[in-house]
Amino acid sequence: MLAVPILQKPLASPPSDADLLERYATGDRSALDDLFRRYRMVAFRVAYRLLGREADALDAVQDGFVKVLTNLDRFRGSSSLKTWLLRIVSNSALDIGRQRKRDTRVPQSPRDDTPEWFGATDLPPADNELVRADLRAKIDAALARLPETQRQTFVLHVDGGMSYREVADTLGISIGTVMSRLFYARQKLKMLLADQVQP
Amino acid sequence: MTHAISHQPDDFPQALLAAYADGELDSQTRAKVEQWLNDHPESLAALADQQELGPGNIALWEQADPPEPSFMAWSVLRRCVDAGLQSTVAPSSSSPTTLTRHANEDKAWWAFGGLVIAGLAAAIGWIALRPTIEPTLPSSSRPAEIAARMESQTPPEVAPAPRAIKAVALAPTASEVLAIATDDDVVLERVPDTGEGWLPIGRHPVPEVLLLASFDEVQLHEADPSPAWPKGGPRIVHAPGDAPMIYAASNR
Repeated sequence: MLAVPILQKPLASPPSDADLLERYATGDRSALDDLFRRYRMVAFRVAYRLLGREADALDAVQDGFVKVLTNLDRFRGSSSLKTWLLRIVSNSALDIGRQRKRDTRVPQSPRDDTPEWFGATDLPPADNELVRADLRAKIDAALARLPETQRQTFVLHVDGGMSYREVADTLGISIGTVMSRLFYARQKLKMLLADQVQP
Repeated sequence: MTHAISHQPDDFPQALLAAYADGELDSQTRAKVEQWLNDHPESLAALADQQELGPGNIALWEQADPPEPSFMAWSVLRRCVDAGLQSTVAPSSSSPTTLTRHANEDKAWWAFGGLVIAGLAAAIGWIALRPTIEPTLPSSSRPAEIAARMESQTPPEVAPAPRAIKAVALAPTASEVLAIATDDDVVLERVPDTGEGWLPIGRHPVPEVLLLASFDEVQLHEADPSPAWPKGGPRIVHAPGDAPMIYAASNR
């Protein structure tokens, strides 16, 4: 019988960010690989939601990783590596968005025959990629119409998975401001999305 | 994490509905909001809106998730990060700090037009004489563009020939384990969109091909099905140099 021992071994707990950064500082390239794999998708999700295009989002992610890794001496550990990275990625994404004026992002108008998708109980089947793309386009279009500060706050919280405290620390604002921005962002999103699905 | 409200927003208590919907309030503030909702039932609709567009609506956000970049796009991005780090560590007067901006500097391209043409000619000649499996990465390009180019290329039909085959003496008894990689060398990752299965991801732990046995010396039989394997299980195939290779049945 062919044995594949590595597949049968229990997986060890993953190293902490601090451990990986320490290893990276000593020249261990595999530590950078681990960090990259750990945070690339959440960074991409944030950037994509702010930009609406994969190519632009990848640029922002690249910029974020490079800036974080070349400024590690400024990272004092008061915030997590994730929040620091997402702050840089989101700022970079906003810069790219301004620079490119979002001219290719904002959106095809939604189809008129869109079903009532909005709300957790009315969602269409998840395996329909066309429906997913349509939904994604609608949300991207609505997000694009939010004020930049609201959009960044919303995306960091929802797509970045950040708590209110983390968003507040990342953006240098109070928790009350986070609440306020999220409240009005959702109100406006609801209105924009409702307009799209109602004739 | 929940927390008390140290800063009361101007529009109290409406903005608190967002934090309430997200479960970000401490119990005391939460109770106040619930009392307020009892007194103002007309605000329940606003609360429902906040919940619908909050991270708690997992079904919505999973469907609206952006498509994950391809394996190739991630690989290229990873290498672009490396290139960016190198250019940042050792900047030159002609190389900008960020790769993206670098791609847009048309004036620089015109200034170095002659050099580029010469470089292209040399590159074409080099490619014709020595094709490679993995295209080299132009350090000044955007990750998505590089990935698109690489993905459009036809993959090789056979595995590349080993650069060097170095015979290594096998352990004297079959019960001994030949250490090929340590835990730090290999990471097991679930490959998305391929059903079940874990694959080792990472740099090859040994710099050269390690010849363990010839093809005739290896036989796969009575392998216990494992949920960790891709559909079809592992297979043994011929590889250049007659070294047996075990590979996953599904594409990575």
